[in-house]
Amino acid sequence: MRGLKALNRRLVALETYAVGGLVVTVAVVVLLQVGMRYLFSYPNPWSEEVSRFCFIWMSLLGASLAVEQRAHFGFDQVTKGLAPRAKRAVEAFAWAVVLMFSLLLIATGLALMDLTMGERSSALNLPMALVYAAVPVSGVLMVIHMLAGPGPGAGDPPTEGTG
Amino acid sequence: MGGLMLGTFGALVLAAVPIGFALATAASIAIVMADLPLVIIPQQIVAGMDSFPMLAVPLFILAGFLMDVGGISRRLVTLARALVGHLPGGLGQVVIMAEIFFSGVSGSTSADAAAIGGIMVPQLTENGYSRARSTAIVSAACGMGILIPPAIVMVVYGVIGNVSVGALFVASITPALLMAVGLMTQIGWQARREGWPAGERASFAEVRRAAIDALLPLLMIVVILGGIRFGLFTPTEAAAVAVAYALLLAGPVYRALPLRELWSKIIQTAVVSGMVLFVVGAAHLLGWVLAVMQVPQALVSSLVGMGGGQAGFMILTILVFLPLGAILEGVPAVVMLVPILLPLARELGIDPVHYGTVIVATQGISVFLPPVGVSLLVACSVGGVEPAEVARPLWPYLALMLALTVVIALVPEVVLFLPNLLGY
Repeated sequence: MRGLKALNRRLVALETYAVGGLVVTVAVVVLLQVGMRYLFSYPNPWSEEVSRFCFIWMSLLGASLAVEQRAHFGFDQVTKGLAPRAKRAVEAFAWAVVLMFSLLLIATGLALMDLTMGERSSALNLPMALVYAAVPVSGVLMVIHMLAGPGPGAGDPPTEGTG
Repeated sequence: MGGLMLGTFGALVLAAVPIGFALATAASIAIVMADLPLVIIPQQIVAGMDSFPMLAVPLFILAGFLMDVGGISRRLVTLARALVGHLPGGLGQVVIMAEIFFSGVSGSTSADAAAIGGIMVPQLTENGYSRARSTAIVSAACGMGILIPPAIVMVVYGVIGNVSVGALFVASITPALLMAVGLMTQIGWQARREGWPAGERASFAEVRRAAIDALLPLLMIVVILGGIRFGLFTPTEAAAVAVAYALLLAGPVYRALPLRELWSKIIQTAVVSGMVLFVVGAAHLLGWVLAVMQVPQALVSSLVGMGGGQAGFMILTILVFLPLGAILEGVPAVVMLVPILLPLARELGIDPVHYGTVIVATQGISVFLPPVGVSLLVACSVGGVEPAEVARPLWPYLALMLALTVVIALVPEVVLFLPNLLGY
């Protein structure tokens, strides 16, 4: 368990650098696209594809960081009002759903990569599998973040939430 | 089958499963039951994210963050105070005015609530406004501010509905000003009746100084809207230009942006965008499954059977979006419902730009709808009050905004006059 937490901390640090770099890349490449068009009247053939692919990776890694921070949009007004025991049970269920879907992302993402190995992008001639790899990678990260995190119902002292 | 899927989704949301995961799980269960290939799941999620116009979302979020930390929100509040601080209910008016300016440089309603609320709630409470009243005014202002371009939800609507984002930006300006005037009149009237304090009238020199101080930030609105209108750049490129502009202002010009802060804003941008785009991808997947099951067609024919014409459909749209926008947040509700509703609106002869503006206006109310609206919760945490306390002073503002939204919905000219004039 302690090993998992240490691994999780390292992965979070790595993810943070990755998404930061991707945001900067997207902004710079889109700006470059404007700049090249006006300064050199040279419509840049690769900028749209690069920025879109970076954006997909940024979105999926950002989504897994949001799992780590438990920040995803959700509606907790009903569960908040439940009795503590019922609340813990529902929370455990919600936790399991997120975990299950993350596992599904890994399996189906790998299958999709396998399926698209031969496909290449139109401008950069990149294997599309490299773009789709963002899915299983973020799936693995989500699973680790879920397992290493506080877990369902933790952090709530048992006496709280009776009102 | 479609009903089962939507029921699963609803049950998962009520069990506090995050909305993106609830959407994707419900869709995946349907895919398994219908014996469709599972690779559709990641493929459709990525397809939902894979759009160049959608890149405007993280870029506008980042520009807004940079404007806030760069000391720009404070300059805008100072200008608003110099302009309207002396009116009845002076500080309340300042909140509305400041949000008009701030929303013009920021794309996210929750970010507005945090920025404007953070500055204005302490000032309001110091001057005798209750915390609940202060938070209610900030909430109403930010609900109006969603109509001031740029707005994330307009970008998402435009991409999903294949509608010009530039036209949406321009179209929402008149409704936004209409709502701002409405709220300011209402606050003035309340102030006279209940004797709220007004500030002193600023001298001409003070107004001029405040205006000069705020000139560079306000110029950004002109750059974005003008640049898109004259075809200098696409909305996505405009968003990147906005980031560069905000960076230039906050960094070398105002010297208010430490590098560490900049980095943390960049990371925050990625996380918020990841939250939004995960929902967009998951909703795209669910939409794909619904389309395969021909649910939209069935829904459309049953809605057409109801009759009611354009006006009836507009009212129905508002009634659907009000509660769903509060529970599902602004963007997810748009991502889910627009692919189903927009084709029907088009069939009834409703202009897609008009339709989008009405949806955005409705979102402004629903994200502040007590007790669950997500932006209301942000405003309450900034204001240090419970949503239940804010509800009482907030209802009259929301009622006015709803009435004006109905007006906007029934009188398309209010929305379409400006884009038509500008040749969209």
